[in-house]
Amino acid sequence: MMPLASRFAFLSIAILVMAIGLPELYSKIFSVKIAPTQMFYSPVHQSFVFREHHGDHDFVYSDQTGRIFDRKGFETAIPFIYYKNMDLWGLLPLTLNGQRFDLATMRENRQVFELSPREIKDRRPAIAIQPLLESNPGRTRLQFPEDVFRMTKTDMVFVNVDHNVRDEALTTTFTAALKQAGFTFPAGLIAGKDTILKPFDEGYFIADATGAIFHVKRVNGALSAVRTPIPTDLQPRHIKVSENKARAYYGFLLTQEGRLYLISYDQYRLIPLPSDGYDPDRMSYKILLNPLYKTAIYGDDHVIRAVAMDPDFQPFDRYERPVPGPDSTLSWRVMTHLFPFRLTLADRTSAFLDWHVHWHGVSGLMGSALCLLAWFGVQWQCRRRASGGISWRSISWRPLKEALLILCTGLFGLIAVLMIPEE
Amino acid sequence: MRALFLKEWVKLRPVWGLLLVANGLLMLYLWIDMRHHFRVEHAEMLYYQANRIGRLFYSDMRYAPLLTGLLLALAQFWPEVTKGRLRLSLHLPVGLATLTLTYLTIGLGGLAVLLLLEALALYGIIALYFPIEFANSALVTASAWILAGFVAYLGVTMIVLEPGRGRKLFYSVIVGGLVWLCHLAQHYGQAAPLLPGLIALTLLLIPAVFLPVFRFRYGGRS
Amino acid sequence: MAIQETPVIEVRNLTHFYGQRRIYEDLNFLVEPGRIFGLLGKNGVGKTTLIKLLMGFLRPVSGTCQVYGDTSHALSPATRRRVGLLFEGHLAHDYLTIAQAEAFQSRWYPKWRRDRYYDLVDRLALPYSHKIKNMSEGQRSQVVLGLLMAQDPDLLILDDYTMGLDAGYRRLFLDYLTDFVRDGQKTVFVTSHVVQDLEQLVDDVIFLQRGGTVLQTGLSAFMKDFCQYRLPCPPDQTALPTPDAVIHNVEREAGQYFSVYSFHPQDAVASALQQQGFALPETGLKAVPMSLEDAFIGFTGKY
Repeated sequence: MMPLASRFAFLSIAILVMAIGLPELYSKIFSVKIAPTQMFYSPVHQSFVFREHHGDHDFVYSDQTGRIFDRKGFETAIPFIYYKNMDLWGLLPLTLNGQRFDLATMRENRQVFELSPREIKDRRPAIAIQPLLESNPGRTRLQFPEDVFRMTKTDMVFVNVDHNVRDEALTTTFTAALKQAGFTFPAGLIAGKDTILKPFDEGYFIADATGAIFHVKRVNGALSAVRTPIPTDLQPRHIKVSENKARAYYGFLLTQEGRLYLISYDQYRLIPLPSDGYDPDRMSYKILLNPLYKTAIYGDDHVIRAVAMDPDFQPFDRYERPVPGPDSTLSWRVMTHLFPFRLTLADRTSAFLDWHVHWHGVSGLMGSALCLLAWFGVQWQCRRRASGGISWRSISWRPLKEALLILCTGLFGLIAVLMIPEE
Repeated sequence: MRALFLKEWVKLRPVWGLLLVANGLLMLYLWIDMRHHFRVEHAEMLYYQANRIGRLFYSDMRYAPLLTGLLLALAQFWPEVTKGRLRLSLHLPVGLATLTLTYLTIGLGGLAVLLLLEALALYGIIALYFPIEFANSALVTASAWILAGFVAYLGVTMIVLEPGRGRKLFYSVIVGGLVWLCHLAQHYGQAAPLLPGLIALTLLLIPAVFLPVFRFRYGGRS
Repeated sequence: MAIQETPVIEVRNLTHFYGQRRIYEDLNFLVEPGRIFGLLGKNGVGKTTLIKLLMGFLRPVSGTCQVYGDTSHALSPATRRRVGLLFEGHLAHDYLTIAQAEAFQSRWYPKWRRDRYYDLVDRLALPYSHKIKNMSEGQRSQVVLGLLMAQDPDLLILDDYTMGLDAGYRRLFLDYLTDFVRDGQKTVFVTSHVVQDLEQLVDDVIFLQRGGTVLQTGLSAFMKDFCQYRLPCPPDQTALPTPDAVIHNVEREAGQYFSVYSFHPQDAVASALQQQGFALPETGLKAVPMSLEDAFIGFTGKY
């Protein structure tokens, strides 16, 4: 009994490790990189243009009508993206929709906000300790304070970083100030950009126990807390604060339901963004703003969607296109036949490592069937060598469970069973 | 059973002691290194690096548990196998499973004490300079490395006890793969969701060790 | 008593190979209680392998071994308790001290005779805190023997105990073995490549030869039936008689002599030699007195 259980234990480990290692090794040797499709709304052609990668150096520049561009033609179709090249080629200033744009206006009036799945708070490990920067540092560069804070059930606790001890005075005054602003402990979501590598500081957006969202900053050494009018029943999942010189939007707000907003500097007004078919756990979201149009682009490995909006964020055109992902390559198809499934740990959409099983479906089953055939062949050989002759009757059916294992786990099971045969 | 414990303890004591000292020195170095950072750099910058950048101030201990487990298993089983002494124990009037479990309990117990001390030292050092959240995070990060110590102990035991060369190699590859999984994470807390699965795989190695033990005992042919 | 009825060791149709090399084929023997059984063979013929098979450290290619009725690869702890096993090279937990070794071993055996252990070990005049690994081969053999004697086993299996021992220690071993079997209840299974020591000791012998041929016999019967005849080499003939149905073996001796060995009566040997064209000495054939070692070499050959 014991040797049986031992063998089963080791077979399980071996199959699991191989299900991670072999496909990984395979793709290290054979895989080709397919760059993700890029899509834009062209203010020049008034249509969606895209760059699609077909492997190696084969990039296709096209638009939704099927028109093919060369690279330069593509770049001049989206002048707010390639404004530096436009300038270099002497194509600026440029008149579009009756408006004239030179280099400076282009640079100042374009904004990009991006949110990738792995940035979302619950999709990355974090240490819930943050610095509260001085938002009015009185000099050009921001600098870190000598304290950090954590939100406890009852307090906004400050810890002095030089001595790693709680700063009672700061804790008391800042907690009191927060409560005075109407904040109810304990805190929920805490969102901010805890770096000094940004042009200025907008502090943190902190949800309180009632769902209200407060904008908290340190200004001239004192706490500034503003209760925003953001609805308390919104259930924000993530707020990405991106201090941007244009000072038009604080950043994205993503709800638990997967709806996405921009938070406006104007009274913290929420601007709903197109989120039809947007899955924040899988898709990157990008919004490109220029004086003429706003474009939302989001997608995953299989599809890319773009929505063009007018300056008031009213959608007027959308386009959707399948993406030539890695699964269109030959090496990928061979892999799905070679292994019935694979296990991966790293995932583009999460900063965590986790166990992800990918089933390869029918093609994987075909590979398993081949492995099974190979295994029967080996059995046949062994028995023939052992007994000098063989007939179907002389085959013991005890190895049926091994056959089942190979059918389910394909090459992994075959290697494991061949290396660790039953004794 | 007590007799076996005593005998194994007498055997392992010198190596265990050496490993204790080596790990102790490593942790002492870690503390000196941390102290040095806080003396020459601004604390707030170190906090920033440790949190947002994800710099691991304790990455020097990354492979220490692995080495500890590996050396302990070698000390316990390598001479037994090469000098043939394991047969002395196998002739004792005690069941094979009991004997093996006792041996593993001693080894794993000794390893657990070493690694627990190491984890405590890590926690202490981080908590000395950073808020407790950092120490907790360090512990989660180091858990995968510590697990690698147990994987190494059990894996090396399997490899050493296995009589067949081909199987030795296969065990090595698979155990090597497991060890690789334990060290895959590059950032703090990254491997937290992996831990339950890694723990389960490590626990599965315990029954798996019986495979080469049975083959050794009954002269399995490769 | 049931113990007396079952043979201590029973080997049936045992066949074992190392790869393609045949060690034994169809080996059968019984060891009865109270007997001293010697397994003789040159180095490398499979003496240790047989003990490994008996103790279940190897699985035979075919056939069975039983010890006290237990199949050898499934010896119960109770059976192992009755067997004292001396491994080749006087294997010991050499990281233990004299006292620790006794303390460890004593826990496993209810009939433990502490006095026997210290009786032997005290002769070494070493402190009890002395580590076994710091001892000479002879000293270590004494500790191991002490442990075996203290265990008071019903069956003692000794794998080449003479290896690395000088005459004094070998004699000591023999003395203890002789005492050990005196009461008639104990059984000993001993292998050796030094044959002379066993002459006074063993009741039955098995000769193992390379390639798996085996002779099992009682020692006294063997010594009675197996005879050596020494003849001068004819000066003009370089070829010696070849073994046949009667002549078991022929060996060239020092000083222009050769010896003929046979299990057959003297006249049968004489006519076999004459048939091969060898003249007999005028005095006729005369059996030469042999020690066990002489007989062993005569039986297995010098090479």
